[in-house]
Amino acid sequence: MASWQRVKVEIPKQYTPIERVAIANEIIEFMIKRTKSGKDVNGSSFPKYTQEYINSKNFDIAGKSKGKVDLELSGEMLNNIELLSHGSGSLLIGFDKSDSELNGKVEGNRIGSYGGEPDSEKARDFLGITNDDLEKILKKFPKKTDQQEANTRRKAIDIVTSLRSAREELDER
Amino acid sequence: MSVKVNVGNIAKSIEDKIKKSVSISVDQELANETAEQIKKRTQLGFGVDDNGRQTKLKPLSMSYRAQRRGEIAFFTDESGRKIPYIPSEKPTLSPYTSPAKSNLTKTGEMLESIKGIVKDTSIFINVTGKRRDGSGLTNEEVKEFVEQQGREFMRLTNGEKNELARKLKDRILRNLK
Repeated sequence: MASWQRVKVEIPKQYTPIERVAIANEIIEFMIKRTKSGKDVNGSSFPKYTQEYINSKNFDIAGKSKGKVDLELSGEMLNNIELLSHGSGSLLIGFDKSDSELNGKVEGNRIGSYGGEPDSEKARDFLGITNDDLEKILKKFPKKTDQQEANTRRKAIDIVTSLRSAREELDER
Repeated sequence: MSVKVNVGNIAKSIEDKIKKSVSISVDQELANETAEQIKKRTQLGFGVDDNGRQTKLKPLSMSYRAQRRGEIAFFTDESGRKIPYIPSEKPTLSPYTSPAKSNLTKTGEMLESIKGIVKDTSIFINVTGKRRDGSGLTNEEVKEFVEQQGREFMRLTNGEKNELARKLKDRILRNLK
């Protein structure tokens, strides 16, 4: 039974709930982009794909290339990273606890088990963010002056409202 | 004198602007990408369950696998009975499948026919056109048949909705500037 896959990200306590949601969204998009570029949490290249996987029909169907390890087949794993909860000073980012199949797949990648024993040589940990990368994201949400605070609030509202509107449009169907 | 700033009104005004921006953000490129995603996911052998989760498509029956391997075929006699026979030629399968792979692909015609179109702020995605196999069926009829067999694929998974929402968000923000 796979464990629940999630990471806690610490952020300054000054951020309001809507700003925390906007920051979480930026972090999730950063994780997805970094993974698609073939890098793990620490910026190291992922271990190469096995020859068996490269020879599989699904590898062809997904249009993958053997030199580009991006953890994407249908894209479902990366697209399911979500903000699970947030509170003053912290964000919990990860996967829906009730989806055991998805959590199993994520765990397999993160610890290199892929249904077997954990193997650090095969591990592809993509869930998380370094402090340096987090700092870069937080710089986009400054709050030192009143003007910066107003801009950050406005930006957060734009991001969150855009995402919510987009998702509402989709959920209606 | 006092100054009153109603933050609620500001948020409402932003929300109204965003709603207007949605209409120009939904475009043909987005429709094409979404149609392509459904096609790719299905070819990989995944459908969508009622909770929006990506699930493996139901396996093919042993009898149908044998047909796809060219070991057996059937014809229907005048009384409507299916009569088995050993075919002289193997069926030509799409390069994106194999006899045992359940991915709604035989010739590839149905999935190739998936198209997305935009109407106002909506994207409509479906299979299109008639079959080229002489059966007289439409791809829509074939889709309905496979879905009745428990292989639901013409939906978006939760992950696909998340991805689409992110793409839409980027477009909306760009159009707001």
